[in-house]
Amino acid sequence: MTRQFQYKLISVLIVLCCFASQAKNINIKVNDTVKKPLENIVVYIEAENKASYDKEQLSDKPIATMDQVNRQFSPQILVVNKSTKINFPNSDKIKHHVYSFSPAKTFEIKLYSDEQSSPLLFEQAGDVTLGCNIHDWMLGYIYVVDTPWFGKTDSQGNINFELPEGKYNIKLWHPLFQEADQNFSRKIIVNRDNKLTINLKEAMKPAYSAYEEDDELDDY
Amino acid sequence: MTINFKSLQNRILMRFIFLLMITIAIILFVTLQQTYRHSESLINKQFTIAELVFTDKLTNHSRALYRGISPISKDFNFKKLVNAAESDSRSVLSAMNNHQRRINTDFSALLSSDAKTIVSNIPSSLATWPVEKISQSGNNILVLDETLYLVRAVPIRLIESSSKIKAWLVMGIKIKKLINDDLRKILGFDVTLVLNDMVGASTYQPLNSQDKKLASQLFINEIPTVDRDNMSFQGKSLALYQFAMKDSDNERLDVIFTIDEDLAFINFTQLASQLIIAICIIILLTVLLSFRFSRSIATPLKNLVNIANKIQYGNYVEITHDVRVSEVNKLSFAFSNMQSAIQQREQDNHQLAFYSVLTGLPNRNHFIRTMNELIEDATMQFAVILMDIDRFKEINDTLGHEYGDKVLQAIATRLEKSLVQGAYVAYLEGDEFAMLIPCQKSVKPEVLVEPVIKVFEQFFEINNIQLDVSASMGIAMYPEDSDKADGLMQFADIALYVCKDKHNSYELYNQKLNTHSILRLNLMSELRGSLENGHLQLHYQPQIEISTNQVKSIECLVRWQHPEHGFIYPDDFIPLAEQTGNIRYLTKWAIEEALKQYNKLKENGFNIHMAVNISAIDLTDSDLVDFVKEALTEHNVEPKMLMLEVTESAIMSDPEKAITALNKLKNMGVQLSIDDFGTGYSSMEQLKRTPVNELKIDKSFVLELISSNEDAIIVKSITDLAHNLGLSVVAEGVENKQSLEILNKIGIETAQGYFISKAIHTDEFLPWLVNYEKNNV
Repeated sequence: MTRQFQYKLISVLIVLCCFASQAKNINIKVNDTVKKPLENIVVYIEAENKASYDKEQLSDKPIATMDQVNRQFSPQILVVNKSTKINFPNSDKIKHHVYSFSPAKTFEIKLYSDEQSSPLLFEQAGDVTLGCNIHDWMLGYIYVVDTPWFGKTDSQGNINFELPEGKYNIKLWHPLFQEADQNFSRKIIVNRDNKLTINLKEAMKPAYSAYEEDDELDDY
Repeated sequence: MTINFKSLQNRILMRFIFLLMITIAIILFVTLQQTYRHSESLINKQFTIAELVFTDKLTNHSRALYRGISPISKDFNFKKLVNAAESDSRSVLSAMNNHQRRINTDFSALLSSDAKTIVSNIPSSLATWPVEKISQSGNNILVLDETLYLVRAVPIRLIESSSKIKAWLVMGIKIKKLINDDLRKILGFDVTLVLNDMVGASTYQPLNSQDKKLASQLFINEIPTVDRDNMSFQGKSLALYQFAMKDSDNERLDVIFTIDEDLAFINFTQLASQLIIAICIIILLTVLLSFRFSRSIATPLKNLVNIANKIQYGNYVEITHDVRVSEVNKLSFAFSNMQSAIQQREQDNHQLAFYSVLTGLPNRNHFIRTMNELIEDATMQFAVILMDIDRFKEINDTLGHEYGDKVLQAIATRLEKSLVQGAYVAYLEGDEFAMLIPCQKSVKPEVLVEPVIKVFEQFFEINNIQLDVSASMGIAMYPEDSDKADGLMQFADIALYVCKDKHNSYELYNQKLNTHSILRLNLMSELRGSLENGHLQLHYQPQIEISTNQVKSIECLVRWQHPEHGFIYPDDFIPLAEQTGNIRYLTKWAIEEALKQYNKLKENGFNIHMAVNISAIDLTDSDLVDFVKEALTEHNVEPKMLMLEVTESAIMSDPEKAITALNKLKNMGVQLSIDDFGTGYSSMEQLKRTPVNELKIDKSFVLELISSNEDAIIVKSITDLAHNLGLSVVAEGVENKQSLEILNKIGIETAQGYFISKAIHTDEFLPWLVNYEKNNV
């Protein structure tokens, strides 16, 4: 997580706190099936009453960044709120051709080498898988959520939310989740500080690395 | 022609061929079997390699296919089309067709992520594709529209590194395109793919001909179900190799390699025929060689057999040696040696049979044979001369047989040298030689014998003794005297005999002599008969005591009054009787007659010693002593009244035996006298040992006693010698009174001779004696 992003997140939380003075601290810890803490799991909490934060949602949102460093997307998983603009800079000295065929956002930024491309607006919630047409191994995800409460677990599998009292659904996302975990949803009534632990139902899929398996090119 | 299986040649030949056949059969069997095995293993190896090559080929195609379609699946624009496929399938299909053309595949299909066809360019596409399988590397073969395809599926990921598969792209190549002539050439076999009892593709020509389906069906029916390596199809033997490329639940793909067995084993057949040709040549060569070899043994053997047969009949041949076979060679040398040994022995035998060992001259047989040959030729006239050496017996007796032999050899040598051209000399036996001298009818005998006489003109010097030798010869002329060898020999013999009698050096045969000879020959057969018939008589010659003139003894002399031939002289028949052995009977008869006469005289008051001559033969006759004893007893005569006279030479012929017999007689009391003393060659030693009572001086010393002082000296010496030895002396041949007086003066006791009386007939002796005694008184 970049410092910038943390800063932004804290800002949001402060703002929220202003409006809901009775905000409670909710700590969520995500473990795998063998109780090992999982990092970089997208955790987002949707209020049952969506309207309660819609306005804030539509309000001015900071521009997120999906950088390309050393021919990798950075961060690999970027979580943004709906209607966030995302900038795709290129920190490498070579060109990239970032594209997505995901329904949530289909786009293509043809060969470019600097940060001059304009940010793209992600209006639709859902996962957007990113690739680079000239570097097949590059893989990045942008997960667009329709809630202001979202984030990724830290190295200890923890994430903290400041939530106003109310009813919420906790959801998880990760590109390698099995379907059961992808569809995970837990209701939670926030009326005090709370600590939650979520264990995955199934082990995560192994990371796909096509180029290691491709024996048919080994010959050459 | 019948074959003789026992002949060496054929036996060798048969065995050679038999052995060869067996060898060849074994070699052929082993070679062909090994070759067949080798060739089989070779073809199997080729099959195995072909399988590897085939699989590798197919894998290469599969990889090529993958390399062809993999980039398509990664193509960004294609991904765009795929992403939009559901709304715009035609665009993606045309793109697929385009790519298909680029990489030269035969079909393509785009499948959804759950392997259902989205769009494809083959009529009967599958509902669900086995993408799991066909996306794997390897030889993926599918049947689509009854056509075999090598297929490959690749996933299309919109984000390449994402695990999410958007769709599958499948492309395939018709297997038929791969199973082609090139492959067949590379593999060296026909390749047939059989999928679930269906020929999928084949390079085998019959399967691609007109009625493909039927042919395929038949072909499949012929494929052996169990693991066998050959089959027969349309009358052709095929070497076969099959392996399964795929054997899943209900799909089985077999690959079958086939090749004409003729082609597979072409080297084998070729080899076999070459081998057979080579073997035929070997057999031919071997038969020829063994024929030659067996002939090289058998032919010389046959030759040797022929030679042996010839030798059997005394024909000697030059033996050629076959040097090829050493044993045969040795055999022929052995034959050669044997032949020469036989020849040598024959020659030796011939030598022995026809030549004298002593003189080296031809012998009697040879002489007769040569004569017969000359007679058979009848081309020339010749004289036959028989010759004997005078007094040869004496030479033998006095100088020894060895010396005598040397004399004969010397004579033989001289004769050979001296004879005229064309003359021929042989040694018969004893001291007899014979000669054939070619001559004219009118030749004079002295001319004929001249060279022979010359031989004896000079003395012989042998062992430092000079010896004068003379010879007597009888001559018969061919063809005048006889035209037969026997006759010639006999006549020459007769002439010789006559010659001896006459003391001539030679005598030519004439008819007159012949009668004499025939008489001589008959005499011997008649002698014994004459003894019995009284034709033989004893005549008596008195011996007087010189001092008293009284008859003290009489010598009994044999006279033969032959009824036909008249009176026969003892000199004529005594030697003959000695030669024939009849002398024994003569002697015994004489002793008995003498004893009878003694008794007759005794009856008339005369006690006179009876002197009887005995010969050398008698002395060696063991009977004589016993006979004398018995006769004395029988006639009741005192032994001392019998005087036996023996010549010096009779004793000398076998002194040991003679002295033994004489000793016995002397011990008996019989008086013994040495007759004809002085003519022999007795030694003093011999005389000393001889047990006699009396010496009888030979008449040759007495006859001319009056005129020859030397004779007187000899007689005196002998007498002194005899007296000194204790012997009395008798002188023979006293023919006059003066002689008698001289003898008396010398001191000789007894005298005998014509001056006293000649031999007197038996009947007349007693009257003579009575008359003599009367006068003497």
